[in-house]
Amino acid sequence: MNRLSYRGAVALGIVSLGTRAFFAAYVDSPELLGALWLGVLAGGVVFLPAVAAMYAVQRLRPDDAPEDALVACAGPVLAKIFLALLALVTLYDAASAARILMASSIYEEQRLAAPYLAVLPALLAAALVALSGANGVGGAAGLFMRFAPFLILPIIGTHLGNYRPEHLLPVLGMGWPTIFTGAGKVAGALAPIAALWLVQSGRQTGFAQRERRAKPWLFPALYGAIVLLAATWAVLALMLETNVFSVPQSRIYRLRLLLSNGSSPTYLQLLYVTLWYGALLCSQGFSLFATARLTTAIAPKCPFPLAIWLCALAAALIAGFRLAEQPIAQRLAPWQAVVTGAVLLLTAIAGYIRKGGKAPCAPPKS
Amino acid sequence: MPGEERPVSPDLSENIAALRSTMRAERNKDFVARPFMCMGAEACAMFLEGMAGSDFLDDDVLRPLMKHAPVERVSPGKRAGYLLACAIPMSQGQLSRDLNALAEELVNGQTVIFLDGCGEAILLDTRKYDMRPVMNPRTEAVVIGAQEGFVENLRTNITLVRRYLRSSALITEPMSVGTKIPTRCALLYLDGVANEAVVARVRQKIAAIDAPHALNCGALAQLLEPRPFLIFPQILQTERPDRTVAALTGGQVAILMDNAPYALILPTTLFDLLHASDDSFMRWQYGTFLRVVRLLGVLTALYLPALYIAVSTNHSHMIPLKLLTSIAETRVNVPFSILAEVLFMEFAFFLINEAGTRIPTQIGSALGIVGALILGQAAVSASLISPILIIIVALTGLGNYVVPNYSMGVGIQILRLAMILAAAFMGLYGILIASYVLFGRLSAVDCLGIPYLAPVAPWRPHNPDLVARLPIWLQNRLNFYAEGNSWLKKEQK
Repeated sequence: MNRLSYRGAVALGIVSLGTRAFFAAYVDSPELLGALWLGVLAGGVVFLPAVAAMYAVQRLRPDDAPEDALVACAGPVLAKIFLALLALVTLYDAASAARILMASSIYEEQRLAAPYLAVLPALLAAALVALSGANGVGGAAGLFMRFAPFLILPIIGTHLGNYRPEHLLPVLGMGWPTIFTGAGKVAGALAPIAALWLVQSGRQTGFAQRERRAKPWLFPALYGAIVLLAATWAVLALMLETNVFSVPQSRIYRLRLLLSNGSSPTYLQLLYVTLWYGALLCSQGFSLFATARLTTAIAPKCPFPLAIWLCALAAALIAGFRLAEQPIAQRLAPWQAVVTGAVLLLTAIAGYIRKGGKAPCAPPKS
Repeated sequence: MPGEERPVSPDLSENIAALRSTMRAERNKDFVARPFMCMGAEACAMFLEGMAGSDFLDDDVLRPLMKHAPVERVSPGKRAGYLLACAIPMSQGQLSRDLNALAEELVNGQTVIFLDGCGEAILLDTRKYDMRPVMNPRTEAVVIGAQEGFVENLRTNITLVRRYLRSSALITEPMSVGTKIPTRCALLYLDGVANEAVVARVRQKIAAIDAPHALNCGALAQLLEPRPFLIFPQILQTERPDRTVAALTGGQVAILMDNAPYALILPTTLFDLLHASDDSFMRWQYGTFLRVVRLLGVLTALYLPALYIAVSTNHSHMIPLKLLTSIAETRVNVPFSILAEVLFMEFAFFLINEAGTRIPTQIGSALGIVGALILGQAAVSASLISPILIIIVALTGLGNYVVPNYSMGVGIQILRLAMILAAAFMGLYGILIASYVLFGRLSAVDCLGIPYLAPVAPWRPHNPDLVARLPIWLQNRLNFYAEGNSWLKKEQK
């Protein structure tokens, strides 16, 4: 079936979810100030129960693909409801990614004033890649991860003398309530890890000499790596400029701060922009693929290419009608995390109830 | 009709009439039917003049047969077998009862001998025709390494591979391609090294070709390719026996075809197309350095003109001020947009490239004058293009020429146009979108089940030999699609 290999899922997770988590903190949560990295970590902690539930479900059915494990634990009817909810979460995620790309491209391309010119090409590209299947989406992210260090190292090397740890003060920023508000948005950005887990097979795809399978701890470990990566990125970005919360904090402004701040040489912008757009395109591709894949899981008779185009159209409409604009996306992000967490926790609970006293955990009757 | 059997008749005249009719002897004047007497009975030798070697045909076939006295204990029906075993001192010969098969072998240069009263014919390998000697490879020149290339003769090519790979595990399976006009080819692989499933798939694919005739190696490659609409080739064509042998020892399969001085290597990944033969001849530092240069050349060829357009039109703030001023000054009098300039120069480059391939050697030097003076210097003097664009196009061209695989080089030229248009439309954003689609689609391609971008995406265990070519003693693995636990793996001490 059209499922990602576990390695492709790891690459996609790091690239797309790491970028989204960083975006949710740096661009959409400017109120965090110097506590940006704490906000990312807090977001990781807030969503941790859902990840633990994911791990529990996989432990219950270690030999099954995650989607099959979800169906086995929750039952077919409940599983379809859960998959539908997750599909809606990732669909909104796809629309959010489209708006983020639009904001990023308008910042860079002065001529692209019309939003549809910025939204549609990326959605079309993501649809074309998603149409080629799981290997296309995962492979693109894998390749990006291979090239990204060659872009990141010159950036960090050039800035080594410019990092100011004092820009991280005050450590708590505006206080814990603000940190938790930011954490909610970050958790919403991390929520699609559930969809990522479901659309991967737990195995390798394509020719391989040896059958290799993912261990149940892979996705929790991946989650931890994503959170740490996003937090590290936040620390590095914070150390480059002072944080002042007294000017308009729109996405365009925050992107300008991120991608062309005064302490960066102009030639570095090429690397910044390449990294940024590349990661966002991978994120867009993943969201679209995951939504279509979950849609075909709910409605098996729907052909996958049709599902891709329907989801792309839906994402375009949501983005085009500004339903994924910054204020709305910021408000809905915590609810994305809540819905995803509820689905995973209920699945885990249902799975344990169904297992009851059966092996392997129940002691044998003497 | 090909495929149907027509039995050899004991009546000599029937056989002669049948083959004369098949070979259209009244119009094909190079078809020779030489009647003679053998063991007191009539016989006839048939061959194509120029395809069969007449010197050893006379000395080693006709003379011993004509001089052979009748042997009473041998019945007429067994004469062919007796003569083949006892009278003909040739290394390759066999009996055949099928007239259609005999006709096919006749056009391959073999000689057919019919004997009156015998329902079998003798088929002798008397092929000897003029062919090009083994020379330097023309399209894959190397500084250090073997200087032999394949030729148009299948047997010679197989011999070249056998000389480099002296192992009884080297299998050469004869096959033919073309339902109406078959062309001989051979499937080569190392038994116990190439994966059986992969070999079986190749065999299946060749057997499934239903084209009436495969004109050349390129046609065969196109018939075998799994994705004909993909911009990059999925089968490697190489002129070098040493490269073929390297592929065979890595677990790949090679196909040699008669009248084609190339071997087809499959399955192939994108990284195979970027490797050159002499990478492994040199020390690892030099091999790595040159590979990095080659990779940068490929990226330059693909992206430089597009980046120039993107940065000049949409992202001028990324260019240092002095360079920006310099570019602006040189473009002041140019009446065309940057896109028009770039497309014009790209077209000129393609023309020079193609003309360089077709132009006769005697006037080849004129191309340099036309290209350099007229299209370069004069265009700048006339303010049709800016000087910096000459540098951009020159660097792009050089980047294209470092691609070892010619087909891939042409593919990169086509993709470059797409990148240029994407850059003109949406700047860097457009380039990245186009790249995302390109690499995303490439990731989903497979060649006989082997992912095209493996072992990078998806990752597979591999030798440190993709971009950096680390020391040879670190390269213990076969390709990931080779046979697991192969006998060719280095023994662990």
